[in-house]
Amino acid sequence: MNKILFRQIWNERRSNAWIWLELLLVSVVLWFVVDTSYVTLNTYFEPRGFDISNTYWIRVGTMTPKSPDYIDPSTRNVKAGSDILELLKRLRHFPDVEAVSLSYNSFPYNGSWSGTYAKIDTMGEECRIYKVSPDFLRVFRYHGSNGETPEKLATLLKEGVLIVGENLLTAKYGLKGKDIAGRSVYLSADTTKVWPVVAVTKPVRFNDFVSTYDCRYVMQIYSEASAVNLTENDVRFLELCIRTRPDCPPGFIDRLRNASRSQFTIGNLLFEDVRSLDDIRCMLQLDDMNKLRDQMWGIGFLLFNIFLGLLGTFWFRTQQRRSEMALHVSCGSTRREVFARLIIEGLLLLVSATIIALFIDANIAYAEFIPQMNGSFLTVGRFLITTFITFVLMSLMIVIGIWFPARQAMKIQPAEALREE
Amino acid sequence: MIKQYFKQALYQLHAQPLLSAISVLGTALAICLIMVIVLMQQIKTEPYAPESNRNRMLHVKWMTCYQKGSNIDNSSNGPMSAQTARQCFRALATPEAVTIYTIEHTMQANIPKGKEFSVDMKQTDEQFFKVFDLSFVDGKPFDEASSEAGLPVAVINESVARALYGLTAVIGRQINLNHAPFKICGVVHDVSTLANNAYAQVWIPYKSTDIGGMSWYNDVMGTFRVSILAHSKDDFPAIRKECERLRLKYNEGLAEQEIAYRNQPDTQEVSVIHKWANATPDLNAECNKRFLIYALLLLIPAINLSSMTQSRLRKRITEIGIRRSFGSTRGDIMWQVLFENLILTFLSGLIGLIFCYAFALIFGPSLFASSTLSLLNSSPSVDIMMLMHFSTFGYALLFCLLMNLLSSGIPAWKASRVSITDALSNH
Repeated sequence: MNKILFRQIWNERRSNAWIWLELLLVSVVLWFVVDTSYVTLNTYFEPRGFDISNTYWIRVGTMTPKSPDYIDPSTRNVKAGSDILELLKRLRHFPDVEAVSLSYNSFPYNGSWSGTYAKIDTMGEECRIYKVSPDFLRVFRYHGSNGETPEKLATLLKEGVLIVGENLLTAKYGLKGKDIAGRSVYLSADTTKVWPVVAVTKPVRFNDFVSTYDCRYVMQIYSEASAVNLTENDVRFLELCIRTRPDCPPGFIDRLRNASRSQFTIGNLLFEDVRSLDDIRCMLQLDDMNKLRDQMWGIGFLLFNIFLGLLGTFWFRTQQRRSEMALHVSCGSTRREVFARLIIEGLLLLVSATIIALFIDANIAYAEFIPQMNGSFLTVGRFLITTFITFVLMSLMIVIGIWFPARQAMKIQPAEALREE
Repeated sequence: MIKQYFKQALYQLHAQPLLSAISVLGTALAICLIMVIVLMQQIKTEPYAPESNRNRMLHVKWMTCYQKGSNIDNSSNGPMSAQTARQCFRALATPEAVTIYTIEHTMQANIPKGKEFSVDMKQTDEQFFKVFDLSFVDGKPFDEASSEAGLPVAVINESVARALYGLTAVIGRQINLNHAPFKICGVVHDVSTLANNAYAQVWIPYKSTDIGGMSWYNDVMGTFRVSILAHSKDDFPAIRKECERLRLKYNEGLAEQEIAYRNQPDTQEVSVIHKWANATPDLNAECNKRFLIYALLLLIPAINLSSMTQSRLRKRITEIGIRRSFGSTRGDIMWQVLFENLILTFLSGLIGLIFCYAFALIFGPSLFASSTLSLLNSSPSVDIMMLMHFSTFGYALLFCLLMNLLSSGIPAWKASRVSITDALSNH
């Protein structure tokens, strides 16, 4: 039977050519989109290394001399920095607040960043540098590689030491967390100062769309005491982050805002903006999410076209081959066999197109037109997975597309069809 | 003859309802998707109020700053300071107007003893209202004297006016911004966030606050951007030249740093893809990518349709034979097939375009949203005037023609090549 089927496909090569060409083209394009989405989703679902549930960011602003409440700094004997410390103290006593931290360019989903170059012996790597007060580790729940709790990590972060992610030197040198714990690090080009690593944390990602492989950081303390001397201009660069207790009722931002006038107007400080980290995450990643959305639409479009193409082609074909199918039935084929024959015919077309498509796919991957995943373009595992997904998606569409014409064909009354002939 | 083609095309639609439905659906879907992509692009680059002059605009979003003697790879990147903006761009003589404005940020607004709420701010100068054509409901923009003196005056939009006082006739009344009183001098129609250079809810003179103090690297980098309005597009090279001259002069005056622009000022088209401060966008690569997507969106459905057109023609092979034997030339046959298909394509294209507009208007806010609009207090609004451009319809027409040519070109050619005897005896 298969031999006949092959011959039949060959004999119909003229009308099959169109559908075959479409299958080939769609297979390649679909694989590309599937592969790109696969890399993105793979990254998206990696562990993030922090927890932003119940966290908020406050941007502190300062009043100007135009405000009636403004106090001329020269008439005061404390600076804006000590106002910040007072603010921290009051925030810590605010209902439902669990932890409050100060930092520079450090919170997750941050649009700005500071970079440095960290070196152990001769092994160096570009990375981000986080300057944070110890409570930052509690606000964003960083966890140590050896099971240290965020609270434990917070006590370890002191002047002159570093906390680093365990993957700091993994991508380039293959070093694991235990290889760098306790070692000394040089930062930037400064070879006079050594920074001992007091703790190693699980990898921490910058956001959901940058993979662990590309996310390296070192963390220094920004001690609250050192904030005392900040001027009004300086405090506006600080990030103030808050974690509320898990049982905190909704509406925290509103409660904080309502209290801001009475409880948090200290010196010339005011809250310019309060946002939940969930909001910040949504907004920073909007472009990436849109891209993912567009890719999903692309996949949908391609598959729908396959469906339409198969539906159209086989609709014609079953009409043209009525007598042939009637003959099959009258020679003892069951109706189910007629149905299966048509489906198999479609799938065989797909298989033959896929063989060529695989060759093209591999070349596209080899030419590095696809996104990198963990530092490489072409890995056997990824290639097999994404081509398999592509094949399954297309088979599904072929089966659905042929389903209706094939159902039609099953209902043939051999006597009638043959009499027409 | 053309009437005949119309009749035949309509008859064909009837004769094969399923195939017609598939063709129409396939074409409509493709045109709809392509046009959605076109709209997504056009909303960022085509002019509409209050950015009606996008064609004549240049933007400088980012600045690059590095130690003298070092290079651009070891640099700090971000918005510029007011000082840099004034000396390098406001000082330009060639353009019609140059405006300085802050990056998006928020302030707390209220009326005396009223509840505070967040508003999106642009701190800018009087030129802003020349570069962008905000439409005033009441009052007028602040003038150069108020801007330079940093007087506490504010232009606000209707929504903020209503939130403060419940009405829009609020000229001369007070608005507190971060606890400081400002006098309202103008009320404008709300601006969509999609016009993101002009967008804000409240506009005040940048010298009226201490925002100028948010600067670093000896007052080179800060929180400002610049938009330049040229007299005409042809002035762009001259403006670029003058920018370069001012940059070199400015660099000479700096003790420790040097600045560079990474190919800026950008045209509107480049500016929208200039997302990151430390990179120069590649417009060509972006265009190629877009063309590839258009090509695929046309080609894949076209293969489908070709196959169907050909099947349909095979059924009409005797008709073609008869036409040929009565003197039709090959060209006539080809023209007939193409024209019949064109009617079908236009019909589907129209359906696709209607779908596309419906889609854009209903899902616009999420469809057109992007990260550049992040941390704003209002979501993007879309109105039909922002989407209606001659070029949009031009594109739609072009894509329909291409689609038609792709989907019926080969079948039409093949049909016209069949010899008369074969065609007549085939049945």
